[in-house]
Amino acid sequence: MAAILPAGVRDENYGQAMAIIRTKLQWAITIFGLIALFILPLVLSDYLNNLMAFLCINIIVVLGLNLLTGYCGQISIGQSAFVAVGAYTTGILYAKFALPFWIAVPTSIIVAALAGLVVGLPSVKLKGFYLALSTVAFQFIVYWLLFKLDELTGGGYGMAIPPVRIGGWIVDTRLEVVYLCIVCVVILTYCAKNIARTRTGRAFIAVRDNDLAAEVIGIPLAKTKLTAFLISSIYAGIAGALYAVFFRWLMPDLFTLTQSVWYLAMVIIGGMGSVVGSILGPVFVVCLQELTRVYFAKLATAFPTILSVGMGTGMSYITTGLAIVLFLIFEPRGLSHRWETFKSAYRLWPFSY
Amino acid sequence: MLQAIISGILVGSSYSLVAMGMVILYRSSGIFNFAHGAVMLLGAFIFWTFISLAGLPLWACIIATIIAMTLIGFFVERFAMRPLLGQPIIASLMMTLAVSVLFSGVYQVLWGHRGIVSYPQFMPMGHWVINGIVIGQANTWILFVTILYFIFFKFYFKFTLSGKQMQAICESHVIAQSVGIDVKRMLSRVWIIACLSAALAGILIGASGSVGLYLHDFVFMVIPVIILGGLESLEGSFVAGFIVGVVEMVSANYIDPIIGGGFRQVAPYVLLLIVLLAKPYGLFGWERIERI
Repeated sequence: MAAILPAGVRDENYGQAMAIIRTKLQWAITIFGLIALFILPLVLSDYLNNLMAFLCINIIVVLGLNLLTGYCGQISIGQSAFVAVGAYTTGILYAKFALPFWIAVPTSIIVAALAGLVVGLPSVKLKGFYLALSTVAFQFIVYWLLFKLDELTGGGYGMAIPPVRIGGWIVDTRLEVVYLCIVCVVILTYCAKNIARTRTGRAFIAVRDNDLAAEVIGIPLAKTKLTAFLISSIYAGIAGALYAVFFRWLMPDLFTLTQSVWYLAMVIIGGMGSVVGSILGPVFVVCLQELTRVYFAKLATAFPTILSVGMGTGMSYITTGLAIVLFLIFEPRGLSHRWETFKSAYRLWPFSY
Repeated sequence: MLQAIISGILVGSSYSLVAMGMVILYRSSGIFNFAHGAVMLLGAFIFWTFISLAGLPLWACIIATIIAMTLIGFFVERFAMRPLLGQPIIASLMMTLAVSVLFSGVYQVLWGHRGIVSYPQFMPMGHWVINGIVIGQANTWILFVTILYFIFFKFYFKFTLSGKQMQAICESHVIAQSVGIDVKRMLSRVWIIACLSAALAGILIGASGSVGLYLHDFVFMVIPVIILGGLESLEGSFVAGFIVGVVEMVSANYIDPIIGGGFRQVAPYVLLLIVLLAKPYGLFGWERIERI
C-alpha cells in the first residue's frame, strides 16, 4: 500500500495510517460520489437503469473473482456457475417453497459458499492449468444440473420469480432494484477493500507470489486457498441472489461458460489485484458490449443487404475478444494501473519525480 | 455391452484426435489452448466455403484450407501469443480464451446465419452390421486417421530434431534458447501444426455428421481426455480418448436408465473431477516433483 500522500499530510497515529479515506479531499470526493450515485438512478432512463443494475451485479461477481484470481492467484473459469448456484437457490427457496426472502438469501449464500469450498478442494493439490480445468468441469456439471433438475429449476424454459418482498418493502419497480444493487455494491466494495488489507488478503498475495515461501513463513496454504474460494463464492452467491431479484426470470443460458470468460476478462481488463480495477473492468466490458450491440443494430438496419441484426452477438464477441487481446499485450496490469499512474502524476505535478 | 464399448471406441477416436492436437501444442509450448475448438470451427467452415459455396474440387479445397489454416496459425502466434512470452500462465490462458471468443465471433458474423450445414459426401457414411453390432463407417475412417496421426507425431517427437527441440521448449524457454534453439520460430511452427490439426479434426468430425457450432464445444468435451491422459503425453490422450468414449457410452447405457437420461454429457466431467483428486497428473503425464 505504497500510496503517495499529498504534500503536508502525514500519519500521526495508527488510526490515520489504517484509514481508507485519508484526506479532506478524499472525504469530499467520497461523499459527493455517493450522493451522485444515489441521485443518478432518478435522472437516468429505464434502459440505463437496467444497465446500471446489471453492471452492479457484475461488479459484485468481479470483486469476488478478483480476490480469488487477482489476489490469491487461483484461476477460476467457473465463476458464473457459483452465480447460478446462488441465483437458483434463492429462486427455488423463494418462488417454489415460498420462504421469506431474508431466509432464502442467506441460505443461498451458504449453499454457494459450500459449492466454493468443494470446488476449491482440488486447489490444495493442484496448480495452474489443472485447477482452471477443474473449475471448467464444475461449470459444466452445474449447467447440466440446471437442465436436469427441471422440477426445481424449470429446465431450459426457465423459472419465474415473483417480486421480492423484504419485510414490508416490495421491490418491484426498476428504481428500487437499482437502489438495492447500488447499496449492495457499496457495502461489498468496502468489504473487499478491507479483506484485501487485512491478514487474510496479505496471505492471499503471499500465496500468489510464491506459495513455497508463503508456507515457510507460516501461512497455512490449504486454509488460505480455501478461504479465497469461500469468499469469492460468497460474493458470487450474493450476486446470484440479486440476479434473481433483477431478472425475475432465471434461465440456464444466463450462466454459461462464456459468461465466466467475461468475468475473467473483466478482472484482467480492470487489473488483477486491485479493488478499483474490479469496478473499472466491469464498467469497461459491459459498456463495450452494450455499445457494440446498440450501434451494430443501427448499422445493420442501415445496411440490411450486407449485415443482419443476428450478427450483433458475434460482433460483441469480436470487440470484447479484441479488447482482451490488446489489454494483455499493451496493458497487462489493467485499467487500475492506468488510474494509479494518473493519480500519482496528478499529485506530483508539476514536478514529475 | 459390446455394442456400447465399440461405439465408445468409435466416438472416442474423435476425442483422441482433438485431444492430441491440444497436447501437441501443450507439449511443445507449455500453453493449454482453449482456442482449439474455435479454430476447428473456423477450419471446418473455411473448408465448407471452398467445397460447397465455391464448388472447388476436393484436392483444391484441401490445399486452400491448408494455406488458410497456416496463415491463421502464423498470425495467432505472431500477434497474440508472442508478446506474452515470459508472462505468468494466466496471461496465456486468458489469451487463448480471448482468441477463442474472437474466432467464434468471426464465425457468427460470417457463417452464423447459416446454422448447421453439411459437406457433400466424400467419406463412406454407411454402417456395417456384424453379429448385430453396428459399426459406422465414417467413424471407422476417423479411427484410422487418428491412429495414423498418433503414429506420425509419436515418431516426429521421438526421432526428428525439430520434434525434440519442441519438447525442450516446453521444459524451459530460456534454457532452450541458450542451447541454440530458435524458440520463436519453433513456436510459430507449433502453432501452425496445432491449427492444421484442429482443421483436420474439425473437417473429419464435420464430414461424419454435420458442421455447426457444436464443434466449438469439442474443446471442453476433450478436457477430461487430456487430464486423464496427462497434459504432456501424446499416447496418454490417444488412450484416454477411447477410455472416455467408452465411459460415456457405457454410462449412457447403464446409468441413464437409473437417473433418467442425459448423464452421458457429464460423465466425462465427473470422471475428470475424480482423476484430478486421485491422480492429478493423469495416466501418462510427467509427474513434476513439486510440493504445494
